[in-house]
Amino acid sequence: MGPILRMLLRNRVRTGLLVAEIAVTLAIVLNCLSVLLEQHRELTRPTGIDEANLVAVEMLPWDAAYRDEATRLSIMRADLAAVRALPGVVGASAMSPFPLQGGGSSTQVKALGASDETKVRAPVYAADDRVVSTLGLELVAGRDFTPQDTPVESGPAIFNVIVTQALADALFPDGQALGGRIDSGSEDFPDVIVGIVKQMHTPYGGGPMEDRILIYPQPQGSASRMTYLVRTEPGQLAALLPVIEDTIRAADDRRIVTAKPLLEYKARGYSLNAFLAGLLSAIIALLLGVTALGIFGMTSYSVTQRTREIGTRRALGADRSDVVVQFLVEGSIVTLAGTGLGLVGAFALNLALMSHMDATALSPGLALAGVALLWAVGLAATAVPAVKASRLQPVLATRTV
Amino acid sequence: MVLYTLRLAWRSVRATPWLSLVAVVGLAVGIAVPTTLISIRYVFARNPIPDKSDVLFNVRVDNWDPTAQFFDIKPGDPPKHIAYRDMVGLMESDLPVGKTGVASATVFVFPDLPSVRPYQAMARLCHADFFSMFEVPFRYGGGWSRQDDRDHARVVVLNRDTNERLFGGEDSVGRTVRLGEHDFSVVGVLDTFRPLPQYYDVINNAMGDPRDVFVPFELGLEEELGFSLRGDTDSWGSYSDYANPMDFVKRGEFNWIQYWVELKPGDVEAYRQWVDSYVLTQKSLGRFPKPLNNRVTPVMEWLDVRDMVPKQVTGLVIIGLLFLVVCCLNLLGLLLAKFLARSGVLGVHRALGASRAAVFSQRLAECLLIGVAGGVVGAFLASISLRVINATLPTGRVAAGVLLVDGYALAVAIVLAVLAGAAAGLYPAWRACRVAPAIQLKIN
Repeated sequence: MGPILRMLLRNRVRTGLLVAEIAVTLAIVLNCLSVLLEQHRELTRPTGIDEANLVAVEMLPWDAAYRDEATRLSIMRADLAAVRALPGVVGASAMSPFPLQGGGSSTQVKALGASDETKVRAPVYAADDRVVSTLGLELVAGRDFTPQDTPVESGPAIFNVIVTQALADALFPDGQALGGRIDSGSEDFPDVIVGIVKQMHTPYGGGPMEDRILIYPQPQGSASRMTYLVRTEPGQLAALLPVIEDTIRAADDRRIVTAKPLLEYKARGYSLNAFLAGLLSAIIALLLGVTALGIFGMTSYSVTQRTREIGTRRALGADRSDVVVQFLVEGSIVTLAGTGLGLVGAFALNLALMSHMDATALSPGLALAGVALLWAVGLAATAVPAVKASRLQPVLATRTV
Repeated sequence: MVLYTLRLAWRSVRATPWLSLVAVVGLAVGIAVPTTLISIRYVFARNPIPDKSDVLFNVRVDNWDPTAQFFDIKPGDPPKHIAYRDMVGLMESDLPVGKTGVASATVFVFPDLPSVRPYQAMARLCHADFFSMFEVPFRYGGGWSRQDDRDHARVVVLNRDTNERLFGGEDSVGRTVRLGEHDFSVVGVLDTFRPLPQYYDVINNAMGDPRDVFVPFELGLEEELGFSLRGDTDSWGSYSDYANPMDFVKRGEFNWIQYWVELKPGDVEAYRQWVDSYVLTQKSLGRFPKPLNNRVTPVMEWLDVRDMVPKQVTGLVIIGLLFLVVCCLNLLGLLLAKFLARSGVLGVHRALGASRAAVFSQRLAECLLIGVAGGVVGAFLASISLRVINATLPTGRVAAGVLLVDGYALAVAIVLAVLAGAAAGLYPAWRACRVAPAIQLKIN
């Protein structure tokens, strides 16, 4: 150890450069990994619905007949009946917006008679009967929507609603949410909770994932856009896409009909997360490559400079493995010094980035993994020149003495 | 002499081909990464209309609910857009040189050809001044008049792609297009027009393509024409006070319009006061329950208010610059190793009469050569990576070709290369010229 340390200290500048390079590398890699993990958590968060088997159908009607709500409702019910009759279809319901589509709206609600301070913001969906079974939501209490829940005429009315457990808990902390009445702006027309589902999220894919959700039985959509969700048997989705489109077009051709897997909407909603994850992965890979190259270059140079020293050691009885070990120990000392300094830098950079990137605080486990990763890269980059050094013939090496 | 120095430098670079290659590639990657990230940031941060950004103003008035916090703005700011009735009210001022509302709607286009199915187009709802205020270039014809706005004239301006699709790119001014239920007369066709960021509509379409068709604002509210409003909306108040949804849009506290004015530099203060007096009048009518909180905001400040530059992008630029630091340290080590390994040759140079300055400048020339090569290759790599990134970006959220800013990227790469070359080359060159000739000669 003594001689190795003295050697490293004698080549202060070179050692210092490597230590600094490894330190900055670790600081960057740890912070990139931290953001990367955060993106990965976003991308893999459970949505509470059977997303892989769901088809989203979007209809853009151009005929003036669609301006009448009752007409829309009857067209919609006929469409859904035809789609449900298709082999391979498990269920179908109208829903607007639908989960993961992006966009949407929210409302402020409180328990009827509660004070204004207890108001909660809740993203809103509007859906038709069988919405719970179509989406594959887990019903905790109460029931799914039936066709009778949908009022035929629009306007002020008392609605039966389905809420998530999170919203139920927020509005009724005593646990008596089922049958509870909600004030969403008008005390004369409170909504009644008829069903509670375990988990569901906002329609804004990739956005803030709120889970206090309110579903109204108002599926008619607007005169310019209607949307259905269709759940298929596993493996049947791709084959059913054109069949669903044709079935709906056959009923009425005065509209643009597109059926797409729900996962396509999800991918679009999360595309920026996925993009950022890809970019960070590329940066990490390039950075480790550059640093490995640097360590490799410096060790190679060191080997050529110390040919005589190595030859002398070999001549005095050190075997090949002793030489390899010497270089690996040297390399490890430099790497560990670098990573020690790098950890300090990583936390400093993390503080700066937290205000810039919504980065989360670094975890000690991740820091440890980063140190191990860099140590492994350092060892690998040192190993090649070290083995080359050990192959030097003692005779050749000492010839110039 | 300069040529001679360069020739010697080139010979020295070639003498150690692998080391030189590693040095150039390492530096090129080190320059390409921050150049790419800085270019991406520039796309969001640049001034989209440099010659008018100081005279165009976004106007906001605070009509919000005093008991609820507004969503999606910075603390203390008024709502991000205004209500229809306030747009109508603010239009009353004659102080601005130009004034326009900005909103979006969808509408069906029915092509003349029976073989082409109807399709849905995005319409920009705006006023006559929109085209002159935002320097919109026309290929054929022009915008409509303020009188057309008042008359609710059924006129339309097509963007280039729509004109291509409907009329094969011909001059279509004077011809008609069926939008929704009625025929519209074409008054103008845009030339290529793509402000980035799209400052006048950062809320709904900051990075997307401009809309397909442009129609007088009021037409978007005539439901029987077949337009449906699109875009972000915020509202408060009881919906049951209104006869129907359109009544709520027109008379309610229903915010959905970005409102813009063009002011002469001397008129800004006067206009601010005018806006305040407008709101005070409305207060006397029972609206605007909150204290006066209005904003007349110039373009660049408005982009800042809306956080146009994503936080992540700024974070990535920091990471990219640190990446370059790593590559510089790397290069520094390589050059140092190379120069010191050639101490013998340098010793001979010095012994034969080369001054320290000569050795120093000779080494520096070599660093410069590597720096320039790294910069050129780096700019090339950055241009490739911008293309790859641009191709992988989700269409629909970002318009095609947004990231192709080669000129800017090249400039950034050159600046970074010079800085990196100097940072990594100076110390090794200095060490090289400090070589003591006598000792080197004796050892060898």
